[in-house]
Amino acid sequence: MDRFLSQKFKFYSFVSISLLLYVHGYNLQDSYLTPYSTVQEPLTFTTFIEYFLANGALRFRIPLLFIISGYIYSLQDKKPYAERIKRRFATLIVPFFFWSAVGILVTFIWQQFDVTAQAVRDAALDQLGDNRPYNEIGWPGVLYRWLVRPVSFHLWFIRSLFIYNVLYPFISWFISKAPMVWLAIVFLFWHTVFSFLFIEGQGLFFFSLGVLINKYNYPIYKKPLWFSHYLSWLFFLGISVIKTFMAFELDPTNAGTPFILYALHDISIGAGILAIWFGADPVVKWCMEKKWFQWAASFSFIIFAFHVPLVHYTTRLAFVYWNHLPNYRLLTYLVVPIFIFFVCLVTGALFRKIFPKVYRLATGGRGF
Amino acid sequence: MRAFFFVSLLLLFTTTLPAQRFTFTHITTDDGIGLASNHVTSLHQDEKGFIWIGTANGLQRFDGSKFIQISTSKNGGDKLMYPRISQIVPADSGKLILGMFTLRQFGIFDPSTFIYKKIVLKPLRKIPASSEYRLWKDSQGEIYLNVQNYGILHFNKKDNSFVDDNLFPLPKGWALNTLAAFENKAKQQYWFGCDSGLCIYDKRSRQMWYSRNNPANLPILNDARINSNVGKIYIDRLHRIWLFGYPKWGNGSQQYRFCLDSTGSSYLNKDTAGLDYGVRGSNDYRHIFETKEGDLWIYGLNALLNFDKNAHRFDYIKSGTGNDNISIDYESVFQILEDKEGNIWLATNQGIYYTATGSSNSSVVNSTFTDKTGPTAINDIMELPNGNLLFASGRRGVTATDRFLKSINIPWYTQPPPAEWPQSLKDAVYQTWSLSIQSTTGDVWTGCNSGVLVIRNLETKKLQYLHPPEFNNSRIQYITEDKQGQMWLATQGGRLIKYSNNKFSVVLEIGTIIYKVFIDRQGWMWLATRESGLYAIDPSNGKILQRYTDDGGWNSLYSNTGTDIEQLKNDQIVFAGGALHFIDKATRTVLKVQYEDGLPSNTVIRLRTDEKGFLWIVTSNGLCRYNPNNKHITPYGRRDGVVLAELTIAADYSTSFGEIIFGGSNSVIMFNPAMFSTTQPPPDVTITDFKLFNQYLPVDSLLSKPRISLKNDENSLSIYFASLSYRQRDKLTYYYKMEGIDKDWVKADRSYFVNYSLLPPGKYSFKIYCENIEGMRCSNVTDLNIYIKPPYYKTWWFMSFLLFIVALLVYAVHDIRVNRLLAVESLRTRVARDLHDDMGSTLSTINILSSMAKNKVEVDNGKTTEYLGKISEYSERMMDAMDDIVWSIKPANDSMQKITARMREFATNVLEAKEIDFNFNIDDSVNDVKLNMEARRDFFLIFKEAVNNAAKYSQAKHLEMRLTMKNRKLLLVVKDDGVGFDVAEADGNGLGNMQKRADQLNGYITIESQKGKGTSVNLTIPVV
Repeated sequence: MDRFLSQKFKFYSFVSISLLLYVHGYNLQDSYLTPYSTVQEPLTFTTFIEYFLANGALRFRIPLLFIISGYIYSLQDKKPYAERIKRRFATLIVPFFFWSAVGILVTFIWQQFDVTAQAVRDAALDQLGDNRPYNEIGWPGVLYRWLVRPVSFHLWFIRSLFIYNVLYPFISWFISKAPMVWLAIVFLFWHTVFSFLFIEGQGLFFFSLGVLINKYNYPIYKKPLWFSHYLSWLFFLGISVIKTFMAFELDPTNAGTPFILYALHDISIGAGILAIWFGADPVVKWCMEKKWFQWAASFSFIIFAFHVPLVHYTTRLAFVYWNHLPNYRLLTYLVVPIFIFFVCLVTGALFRKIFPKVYRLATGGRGF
Repeated sequence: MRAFFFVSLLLLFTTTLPAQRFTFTHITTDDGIGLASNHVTSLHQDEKGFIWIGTANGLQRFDGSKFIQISTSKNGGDKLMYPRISQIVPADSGKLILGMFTLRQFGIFDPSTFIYKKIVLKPLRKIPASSEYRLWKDSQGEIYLNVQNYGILHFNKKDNSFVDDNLFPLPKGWALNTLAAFENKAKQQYWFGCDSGLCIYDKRSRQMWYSRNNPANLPILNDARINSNVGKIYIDRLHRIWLFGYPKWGNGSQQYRFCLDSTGSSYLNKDTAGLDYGVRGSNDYRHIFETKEGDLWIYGLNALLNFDKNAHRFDYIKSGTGNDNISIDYESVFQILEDKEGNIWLATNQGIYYTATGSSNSSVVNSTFTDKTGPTAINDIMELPNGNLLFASGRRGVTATDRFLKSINIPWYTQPPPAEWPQSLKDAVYQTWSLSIQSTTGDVWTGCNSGVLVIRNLETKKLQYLHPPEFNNSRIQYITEDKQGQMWLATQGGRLIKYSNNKFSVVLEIGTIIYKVFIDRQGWMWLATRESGLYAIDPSNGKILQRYTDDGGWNSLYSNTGTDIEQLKNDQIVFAGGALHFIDKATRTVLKVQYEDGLPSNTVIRLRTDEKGFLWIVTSNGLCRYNPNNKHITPYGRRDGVVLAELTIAADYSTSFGEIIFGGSNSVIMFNPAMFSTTQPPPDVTITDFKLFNQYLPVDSLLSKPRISLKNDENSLSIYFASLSYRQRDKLTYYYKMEGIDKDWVKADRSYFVNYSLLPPGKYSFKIYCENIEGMRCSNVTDLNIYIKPPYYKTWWFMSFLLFIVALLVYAVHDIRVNRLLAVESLRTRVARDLHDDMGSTLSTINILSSMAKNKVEVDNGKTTEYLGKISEYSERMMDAMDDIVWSIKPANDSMQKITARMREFATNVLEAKEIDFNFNIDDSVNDVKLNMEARRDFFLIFKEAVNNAAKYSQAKHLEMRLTMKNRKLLLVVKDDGVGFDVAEADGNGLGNMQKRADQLNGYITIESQKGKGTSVNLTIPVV
């Protein structure tokens, strides 16, 4: 892997993770958006922007992260399996438990004060739907949340990644033998949101795509001849806009609506990944030459791990104090993610400086 | 003296005040709110709170303000028009089973789909034509139909029929009385009343027990009195067994009404006290109803009784058409329903009766007295330290009741007035106007006509009769005590008199009636006068501190005549002077609240604040309450149990028990204000109806959807709403907002619906909540999502899609233009290259050769001739090349026919010159092939090179050329029978050029040759 490709991976990992703040920071009435979610509230500038970003234009980030992960993981095929899994346990599962506990602790602290406790209730983030204070739920419930259904729900990403890493020999074998068949199967997994125990189908397709790109030496470092910047950005943004309008305007009771939205979702993700990957090389070069950017990018994992549930709780807290302001929803959506971004950076910097060993453990050694 | 003894005698004659504990609101067809018939037979309240009503003219639904007639003929169901509904029983999932007994029809109605289906009767034998029916439901949700002279049918949900599955095998020969079925859930038994007595089905043993089969030896089954016609059975929550029936013993025409203990062995005769009213035979007790609080009601034909827990007997609520405002008129009470709030609803043959006070303990007492039953011509009220009440009566002097307004005997006038008084003064002793107790002495002061003052000491019971000259023979209108224990008296003549240090002194003379003297918390004394406004005076010196009149100024009163004064907790003085006045004495500002501000009338007469600071107001239009916290005025009337308020205009009092009493003339109302305060939020608002243009849509079905989707032209709609609290609904304030139209909450008027016309397409959310008089909001905002679909061409997604297509077209046009420019550039480049490659070098060579020939022309003719020959050869080759270039560029040569013609011409020229025989076969399919300019040239040059090579080097005698199409590929074969060559050793530009040109055509070329066996050149190129 050449140096620029490595820089691109770092750059896009950081950008994708940072954009998660805007994906998770929306405050629509529907607190959980699926790719085919329609919106029941009126179409306004605020609701349009929030849906467009959170469930349209920025939806490419997790697929891109999985592709990068699959590509990088398949670069190390020569290392012994056991050694790789052991390392991945340290870099994925240990951080999973650490940040799951942090999420619970943050929630518990917020539950101790009336105003913040109300924000926790309003955020309704509990994965089991029971938003009572933890001291009412009790230890067994808290333990279950820590291990299985963390309030920091986004940690499913690193848990899934670990599972994919464990399954890697099988994935790799299938890709080498029948790549198209395998991709077709995992594509269906992605679309049907297949899940079995901890094997979640949502990322398997893109992880496999990353592995395939590496194994077949697809030249991702240069723009393909067939690639058109214009068309990829047009499809990426144009389809995202159309999908957003459709989410507001199509009849949710119509059986065809989810399929239309899903199809547009797929197109926009595919176009988005291509447009982003091949369309911003000068920006990547410029950013990766800047020391401040590299410094900030070193906290990618902290931003990823720490922003949930903070961004949700802070959003609800902002509602309490800002609801008298005009356009407070939009204001909250635009400001809170940025605020939490800097909170994560500062927390990460202090954490790394004061407790470097714990930091290494919590981040799986990332960011040094 | 005679009068004294007469009055004393009257007071000794004590009577029991008949308790009027229920104040019914009557709903009839005359009310104009849609009741279909006054013959109302059944009632049912559904989960949402709607009251379903069976009438002689069909099924209806009541939301508190209007009745909706339910008729349907929807596909998938049967017709339900306007049949006489006899009974409504709830089935599963909100469905209703309807019994139309006179038609011998039954059906099930689903409010969410508006589909009605008939239920088929499937008896095993014929049902007699005269049979009566009764539906009932057990605790398991099973529904049964009692059929007289037949037995019991069971509702089969799957089959939608009543079937005879013989679940309850009645003793042979016993006939079931249709009203006599009761499930004793605790004992898992079903009790049935038959013409031959009582039988009990024991669910555990699956046996029917009766007098001749009594394995448990139940005393009730052995009781000969009960082994007779049992018409009604009820076991109450005290496990008492109630049995009504017409016995075979006696003359059989008189209904027996038994109450037995839980064992059925002892008759509880005390518990049936009050049941046997009137003449037996003129009434028929058919049903027993027990409220959630355990109140028992018995009703039927000419019967409506309620058990009075205080009196421990049944009260008969008599039917009557009197003008006393509190009568109830009925012949038959068909059903009693207790709704979710504890209100009682009666279905009668005279319409629906409703009372908001389901429990007797919380009733408002409305009492009308006669001279025999209590105080009349009431002028003032006062409470004694022991809780009894004194009334100053204009005709009967001071009379007393207990705290429940039951008249009691207190011989007030223990001694006669002074004998020396003239008769007018003696009479004035019983013409009492005002009462007050002097806290320092315990004396009760009574102000009378003609300036007579009667003072009675409560301990010694001794009376003092005074007639001080300070009163100037004027009626003592009002008496009160200040904080210093001084007594203040106001007269009709307008004198304010102070009693202090055992002497009376006139403090102020106004010259008009002083109706009320009120001492506020700061010690100011306020006087409400007739035609002279409101005075505030300093009681220490009688100096007027403030005066308010109807002078037209900024702090003007509504009227100069005022009857009452109060002070609110925030130190505002409230003055009843026509309108209601709130006076800030610090700023002297007067705030008037009038009819247009929500006051029931501009004749405010009495005021009284309660312990919570609410102000109770009696106006000429009834009672209302002012909430100083939210400034809401709430009227109270019949629905709240308040009937006589407009008559109680003379006196008011707050008792030490927290009750407020208003009195006047011969009427008194007494209530605990806390009864009207709710600590619970009101129920959430229900969308009761949805009307599109002028057509009602089935609201239950609409509300089951996440949103109502309407077409773009279905944009005028009405939404009906109500909080289904029949007790509070008129006192609730509704606020609604249509998100997408309304920016703020809109306060609803009393019409309980809102119209929206010509709504533009879009997504709307109608939200509504209500607030009760305490300012408490309902728990949830009710919302109704409405989506008026725009036509697709007006949607944002379609417009953005069009933009997307336009952007794609722009790209396509741009792409075509760029490709065209590139093609032109490519052509120019190619021509330039060809000219350079093919012409430039040849012309250079010719130039060199001509120079050399020129130099040798005179020296060496041989060389010159050689040079000239070469020049000729090169120029000929150049002409050929030029010919090829021109030929390839020329559009006229684009067709395959032109290409093959040129190929044939070239082959003929070359091969005939060499005397080589040849064949050139061309398939017809080849003519359809299109080659662009470059491809055409490359293809021709490959052919040319192949033929040239054959002609030059093969020494062939015959050349075979074939041009065919196969699988969308153009195949060219040039094959000779010449000497052949070793392909591996072949060297030369010609073959290389052929290969290069084949590549440019995305094809491939193979050369097969062996020495002595000829050569075959095969070209394959893909074509479109």
